[in-house]
Amino acid sequence: MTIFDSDEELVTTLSDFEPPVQIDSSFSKFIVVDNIPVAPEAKHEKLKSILVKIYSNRPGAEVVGIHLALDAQRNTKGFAFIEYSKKESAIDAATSLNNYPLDKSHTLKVNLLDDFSKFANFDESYKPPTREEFKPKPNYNQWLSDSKALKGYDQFVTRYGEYTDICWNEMYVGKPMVEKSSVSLTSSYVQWSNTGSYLVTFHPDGIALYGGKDWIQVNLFEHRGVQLVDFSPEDKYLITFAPIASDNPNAPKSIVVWDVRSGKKLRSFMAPPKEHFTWPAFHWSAKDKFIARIEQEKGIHIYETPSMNLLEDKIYEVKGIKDFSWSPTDLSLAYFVPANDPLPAKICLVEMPSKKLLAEKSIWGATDARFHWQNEGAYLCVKTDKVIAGKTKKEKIPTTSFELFRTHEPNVPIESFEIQYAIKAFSWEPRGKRICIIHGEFKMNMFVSFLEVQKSSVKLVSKLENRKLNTIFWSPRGTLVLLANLGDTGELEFYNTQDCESYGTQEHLQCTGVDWNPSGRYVTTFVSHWKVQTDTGFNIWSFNGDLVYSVLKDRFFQFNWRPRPKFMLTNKEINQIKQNIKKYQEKFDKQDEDDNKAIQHIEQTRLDNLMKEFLSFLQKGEQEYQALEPTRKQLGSYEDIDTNDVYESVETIEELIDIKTIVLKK
Amino acid sequence: MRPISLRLHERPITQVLFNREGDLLFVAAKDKLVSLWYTTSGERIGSYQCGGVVYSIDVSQDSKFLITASADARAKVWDVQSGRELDSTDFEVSARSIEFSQGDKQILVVTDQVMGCQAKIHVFNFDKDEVRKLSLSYTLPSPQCKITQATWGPLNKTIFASCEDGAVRIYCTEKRELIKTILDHNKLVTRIEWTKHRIMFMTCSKDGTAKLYDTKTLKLLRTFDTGRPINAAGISPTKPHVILGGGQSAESVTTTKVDASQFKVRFFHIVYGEELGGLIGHIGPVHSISFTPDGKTFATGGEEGLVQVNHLDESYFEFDDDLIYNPPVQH
Repeated sequence: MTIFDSDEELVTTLSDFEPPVQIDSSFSKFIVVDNIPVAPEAKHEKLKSILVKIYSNRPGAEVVGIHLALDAQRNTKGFAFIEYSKKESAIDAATSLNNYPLDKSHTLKVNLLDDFSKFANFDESYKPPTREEFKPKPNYNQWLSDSKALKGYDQFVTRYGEYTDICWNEMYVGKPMVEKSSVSLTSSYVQWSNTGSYLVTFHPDGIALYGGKDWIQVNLFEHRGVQLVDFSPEDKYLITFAPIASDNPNAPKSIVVWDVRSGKKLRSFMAPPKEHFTWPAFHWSAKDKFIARIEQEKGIHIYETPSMNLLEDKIYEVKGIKDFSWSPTDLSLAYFVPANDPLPAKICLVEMPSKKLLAEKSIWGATDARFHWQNEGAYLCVKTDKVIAGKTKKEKIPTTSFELFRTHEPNVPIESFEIQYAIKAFSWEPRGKRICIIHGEFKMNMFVSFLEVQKSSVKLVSKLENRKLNTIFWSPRGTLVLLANLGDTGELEFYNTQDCESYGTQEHLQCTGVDWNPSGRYVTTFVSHWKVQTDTGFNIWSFNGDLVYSVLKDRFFQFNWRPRPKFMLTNKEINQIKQNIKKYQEKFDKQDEDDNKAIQHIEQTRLDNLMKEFLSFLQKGEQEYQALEPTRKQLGSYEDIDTNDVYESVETIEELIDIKTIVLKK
Repeated sequence: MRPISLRLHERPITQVLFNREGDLLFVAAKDKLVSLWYTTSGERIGSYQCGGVVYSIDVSQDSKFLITASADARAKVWDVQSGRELDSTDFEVSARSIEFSQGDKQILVVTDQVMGCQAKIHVFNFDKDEVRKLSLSYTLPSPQCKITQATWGPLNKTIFASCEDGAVRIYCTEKRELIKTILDHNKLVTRIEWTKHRIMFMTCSKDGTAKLYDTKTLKLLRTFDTGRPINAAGISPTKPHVILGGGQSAESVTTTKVDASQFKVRFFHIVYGEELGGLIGHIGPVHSISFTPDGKTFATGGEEGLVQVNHLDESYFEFDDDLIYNPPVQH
């Protein structure tokens, strides 16, 4: 049947499309006016006109009907009904035209007619409010008290092919012990939060956080096209970024700040234009207090958490500012203003939010600076680049110098030192006083210098020469350092800065990344499919450069150790443990040995079972095979005749028996 | 013991193959040559000149006939002893894989998917006693993707084909149709290798894994993950061992520094799945591995044209227990 078969059918079909007319049987357009004067019939018309005048005195309000309630004597009863053309006008009148003073004794009260029936039918019996059941949130640090974690093992996440595995590193097993393996967990990559509580997965519509005992999904942050995530240092907040071509300044969608635990969106920001974009877009202060971003030349926007309001409602003005950096532990920041003829460049250390200047250093001619904080905030080293005019006017020599701020000492003493050649890499020892610098002019021939901050100066402790290295990876516990030649041939050098000796060199061909275990006992080097397509996988080394095991996987993408939260022990307590190390060692050694035995036993039974299962398949198959011998004979197969064959090994032995000389012809 | 290196071929080896007794070794290569060697000494007996790159060979049970599939779109039958060509059949495109059925009465030939032709498996009848000619029996339906190898199942009831899309397709030879598709690999399957008596089979893939299946139930028994593309597997008929070989193909190796361990052949325990050891020797990807039926010798052929024959040492045979095919009779 088509619509246009006949006129009649067309009509019936059209009525199907139109919704039936709704008859409004409610009194929502009516209001009740109370307290009107009691008036005889003669005055009714006047009263009506007054009321209409009063109650149509609102924008858009149109009174379509009025009805005075009358008693037997046809006097007004003291109230009236008024009908509006629209429901909205009635609601408006009930709020804005209530308590209208008509005269001294009459103040007009307005109520919605609907309210009368609502309140008349109100259930007056008390119903206690239902108690919402308390759902405890899972303990996201539960893994730290896992029996394996208590024995000192760590977790890591690996991604290869479609798989994401969370594993334990029980080293003596010689392979990763998978705790949870999932397929297609994320659409791009995974990331740990700063304290290791959560694992972030990326999806086209947002990011998801996983954590707790059974790896349940903790929270979902909807942010379309999200690509990057940055957690605050203590994991209270997180910032997500999605590249959006044309963002609306009134409702920006590029950068969003979230509260991690509640999942609430705190504020969103515009992203700076592509050429100025850097990640992280905002720098976190210590203790999750502030986030800040720079506006080139003008100053720093500092926002307070959790309100996300601009600190003191205005930009922190610094004319000509080029870069800044928060202290990792204190509420202070350092900023750099490059030289602007005739003014020298300036590095300032400012306390926030008081804006008290803690230290200031002027440098002639510096054009660029990089901030390197020691991770406990005790020292700040600023690498400054300047161009010095050579002998001739046109000749310019780029030079680099360092300014060291001792931020935890009174009055913040500043000193400077210089390093020869171009600086390739610079890194502070975590929780220490040493600096490692790779410098040199040729890629194949670099120097590695170790400096130490001493009481009154910075001293060169040791120096390695002729090295083919480009990146520094300090152990998170300090003292040990892994120097690597990343993105190339993958030379590795394990170095102990305490004794100034090299543990040895190793190689992981085409190595693209390094990650230290949080305990500093192991270090992983890996080759990621994102950069290299052949022989992807990872190697785990002990701190002194012995290969623990190596794993090769097709399409291996990433390896990340799960970070541990910050130390809760004071330095004194740590030292106490160090003194009693023998006592603890005994305990742990015994534990390790027991575990080892148990695991070996489990492994043996596992292997035995595998063998049993395999043989059952094999023997069953063989039995069936034997039974089919006649069929094979029919096919003309020789397979079975071999077993009946008698082999005779023939060996030719040549032996010289005699030599005769025969004269054939004379 | 030092391996015997057979240096004759100048181009990549495509297949190494022992005859049923294991005393003769056939080597096919891309230099249009099939060569024949004595296994024990590594002495060359002779060679067969083919018109094109030889992709695949097979030899009859009595070692009298050699069949070859080559890139000049021909499948040929040779007299092993005299080296004479007995018959040849033409296709539209290259012949990729060839194999005698059990009993040598039929031959399957796989043709490539190029130039608008579908990949196909052709089955020929072959009468070895009198006619000695190939006659087409039937052609199986095309899977619509390239077939790298096809092999006869137990009692010639099925044909197993390894495909480019990572699937292993099983055809019934009686109904002449597809009966089962196993899709476990996510990259090209390079080869299917049978264990002794075709009780199990192993698939090798470019995705870096080899998988072992039970032939009857098609149950996946074990996965061997090497992280490198696998081109070939050799399964020991006596020991619970499997040799896997492969490596990145030359064009995808970008670094100038060649890692020798990249191309080593690796021994795995077939039951435990653990790596036992490896042999370095090849300087290019390994394309074919074959065990002699007695399990005492194996040969490997590589991209660089080198064939290595390894006679295993006595110590190897003491290292692991033999596989028990027949359980001891209970009294």
